[in-house]
Amino acid sequence: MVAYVIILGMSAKKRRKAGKTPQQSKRLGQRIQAWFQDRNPVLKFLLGFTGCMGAFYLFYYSGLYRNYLEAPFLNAQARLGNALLQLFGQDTIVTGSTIGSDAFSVNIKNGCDGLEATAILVSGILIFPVSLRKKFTGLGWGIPILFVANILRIAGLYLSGKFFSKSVFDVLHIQGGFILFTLLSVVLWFIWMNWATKATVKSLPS
Amino acid sequence: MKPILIAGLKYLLYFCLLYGTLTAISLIPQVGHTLNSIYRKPTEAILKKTFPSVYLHLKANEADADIIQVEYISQKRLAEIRQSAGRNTVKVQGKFYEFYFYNTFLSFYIFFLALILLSPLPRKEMAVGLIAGTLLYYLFSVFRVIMALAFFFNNPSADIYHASEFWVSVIKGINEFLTLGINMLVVIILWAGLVFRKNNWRKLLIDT
Repeated sequence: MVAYVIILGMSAKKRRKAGKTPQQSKRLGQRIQAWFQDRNPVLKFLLGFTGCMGAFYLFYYSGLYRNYLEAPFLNAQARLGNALLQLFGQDTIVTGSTIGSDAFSVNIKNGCDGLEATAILVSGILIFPVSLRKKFTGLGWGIPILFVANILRIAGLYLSGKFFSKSVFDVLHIQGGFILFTLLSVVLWFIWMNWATKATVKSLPS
Repeated sequence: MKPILIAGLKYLLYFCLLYGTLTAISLIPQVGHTLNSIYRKPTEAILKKTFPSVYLHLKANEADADIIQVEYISQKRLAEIRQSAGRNTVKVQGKFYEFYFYNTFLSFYIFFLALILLSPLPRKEMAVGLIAGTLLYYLFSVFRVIMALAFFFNNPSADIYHASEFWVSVIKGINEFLTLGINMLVVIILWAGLVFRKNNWRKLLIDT
């Protein structure tokens, strides 16, 4: 857009100097305009999505969440992860947001709570233009799936730290855990969008 | 199982395979060091322009491809050393600031790469998306480095820049906000913005 404005704002002499004829400038301007028009609904959607994520981060970094909700939420996740590990015969205990044993311990911190990935799914569902009923169905399935997946991830990270080296744990922590977990949220969002728009999609030419 | 669910799981599996392969390749030390070096060159030039009061250069850590070292000294201090030595060329040992290459750029760039490569796009569109996305994500990662350094250089321990309390708190706030989650969000927004269009989003939704 900036390039378009600059080129159109040039005098004929300057345009010639820049090696562009008026037709070429117009073509470039039209192309940029066409690019925006072509992506108009997607860009609007992304703007709304970014706004929703912005609202989430305002809450996530607020005193309300940090002072009152964060500790009990992380503790609940640690307890569930611990229960799962004990089910697999691990001798672990929970202290605050830490699951530990004599062999290894993991501390669940901000970013490992799965809330950002959940917010991506929730924002995507809330901003997508379908009926409220379909949105609630998506949220009703998506949030519990991500919550359970995060507990599995936490338990898995504990096991990887206990049975493998620190470098394996580090790779799984960022690559395996964080990135794949976020992708799971995106895939769930896509599955829901496909389901929610099924009726419309069926009528599309193949 | 419903076809949509199968398609979703299939996509997740393909992604895991591609992303896993690319990550494994990136973890080979020689590959990591080469990519680290490619990243350092333009970044050093940008950082030099951004912080004119600092003489800096980016160095590799031979033992770890994940680390980029910023060796720095203030231009003022350098001028003093030159003056006392009485010549223009002096050998100075700078101080060091380190940041992680994989968390700053590579891991999330591979995520972006896998997303784009798995999107059912014509080759030309894929190439344009890759080039534009690479450039934009690179610039975002450099912005993160600039913010981290801006905060560091304003620190009493570095004592190079002396921004007002307000600006230091703004920079600190930006640094705290730029978490790995934000990295991820930027990648997803870039991917969606570059791949989906008015005419193709429904079809891509089915094909993806």
